[in-house]
Amino acid sequence: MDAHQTTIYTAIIIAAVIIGSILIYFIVSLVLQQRRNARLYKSKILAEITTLENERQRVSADLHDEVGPLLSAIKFKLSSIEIKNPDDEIQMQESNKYLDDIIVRMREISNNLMPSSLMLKGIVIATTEFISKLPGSVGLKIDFTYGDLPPLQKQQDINLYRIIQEIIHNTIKHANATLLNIQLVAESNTIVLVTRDNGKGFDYSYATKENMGLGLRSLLSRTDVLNGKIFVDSKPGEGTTYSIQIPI
Amino acid sequence: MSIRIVIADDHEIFRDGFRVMLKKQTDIELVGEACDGNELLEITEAMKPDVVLTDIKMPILNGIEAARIIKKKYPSVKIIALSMFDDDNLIIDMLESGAKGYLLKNTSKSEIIDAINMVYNDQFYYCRSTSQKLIELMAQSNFNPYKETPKPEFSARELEIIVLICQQATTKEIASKLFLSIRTIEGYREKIQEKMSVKNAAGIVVYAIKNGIFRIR
Repeated sequence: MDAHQTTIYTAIIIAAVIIGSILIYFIVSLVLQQRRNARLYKSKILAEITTLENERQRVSADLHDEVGPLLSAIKFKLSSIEIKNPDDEIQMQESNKYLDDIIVRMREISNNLMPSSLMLKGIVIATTEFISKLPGSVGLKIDFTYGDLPPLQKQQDINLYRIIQEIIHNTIKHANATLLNIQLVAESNTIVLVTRDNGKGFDYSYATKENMGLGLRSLLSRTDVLNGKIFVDSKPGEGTTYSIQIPI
Repeated sequence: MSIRIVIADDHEIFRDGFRVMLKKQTDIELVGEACDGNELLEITEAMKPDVVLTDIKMPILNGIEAARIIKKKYPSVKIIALSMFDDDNLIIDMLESGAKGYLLKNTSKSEIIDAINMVYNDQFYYCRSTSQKLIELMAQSNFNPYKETPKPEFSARELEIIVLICQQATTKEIASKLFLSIRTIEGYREKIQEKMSVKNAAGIVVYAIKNGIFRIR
């Protein structure tokens, strides 16, 4: 090997090392960037969900705890007025009726925003209540079973509740099912939520690839926020099974 | 002699409305107002009222804790829980801590007066707008006001009507089902309510469930 060849080899090796280093640098920084993006995305979703739920809770509590007693006070005050004129009496009765309607409607709004039972008694009681309040006209029988659950953090309670709500809504809206089984149990440091319906099912991989619906997206991001895993098993004609595991 | 009552609620406007409403009522005297559970205990100690009407959610000491203490220290004082609709689970907690009745805050004046009179006479009061869900919760809870009371006898016809009421049938539906007039059914209803010493359908249902006359599902 003469000096000339050695120089060429050395040059090639140096060039290869430089190109290799540059490539490795790019690949590594690409991966890091991707991870940073994923982290950012997750914290953005977390912030969005937290803000949303905090606002809901605040508005719900204000309606329930501040506006409610005010309306009751008006009702009490009106009932102390003695009316001699029969026409006025009718007007008064109607006003009272409107007041009652407002109070009932306000309760519904407050409860839809954030059920007080979820804040006070947790996921199981809130879910039972939500199911019992669904109108019979939805034509879906929901069978909810649960095991002993350890007390959960408020964020876990809220997100799990919203996930269950979303699944029930999806089933009512799209599945054409008559039966939905919901099972909520704790298995060594994990909360497991499994739901199964007898509806028409859907193509999950297609649904996630082609412009995902808001409902499904919310399921995925809430599971993600809880650091959980979600498995969806559905085929056209064979019903849908959601299986969600949340670490505690 | 008028019934002496105390009200506890953290909303001044609510207490104000309540006070104005009862101002013209000669048989009921409002002798004190409290804005939290602690103040309620102090006023109960000082005034020894006959009946206490208390909100459930209050600062410092909530209604549930306050009821438990009052029940223990002053067993003759009767407690009525005041609740903002839909807090069914809290109502159960109140009944289990010794309240003799509950009222929703959007109730009418006449119902409030009824409730005060009933619990004053050592009877239970169930709010007229009691939801089916609350009745089920009461049936499952430890709250049972009928443990020591002597059991009245019901005729076969009365039992039949009680079960129908529990199945949420209206007076009209019961009448057509049993081939009786609406007026006859109303008569039966009144007699049943009298025997159970309750005031309305909610009371009948809770009584029936607690005494094994009716089973949910």
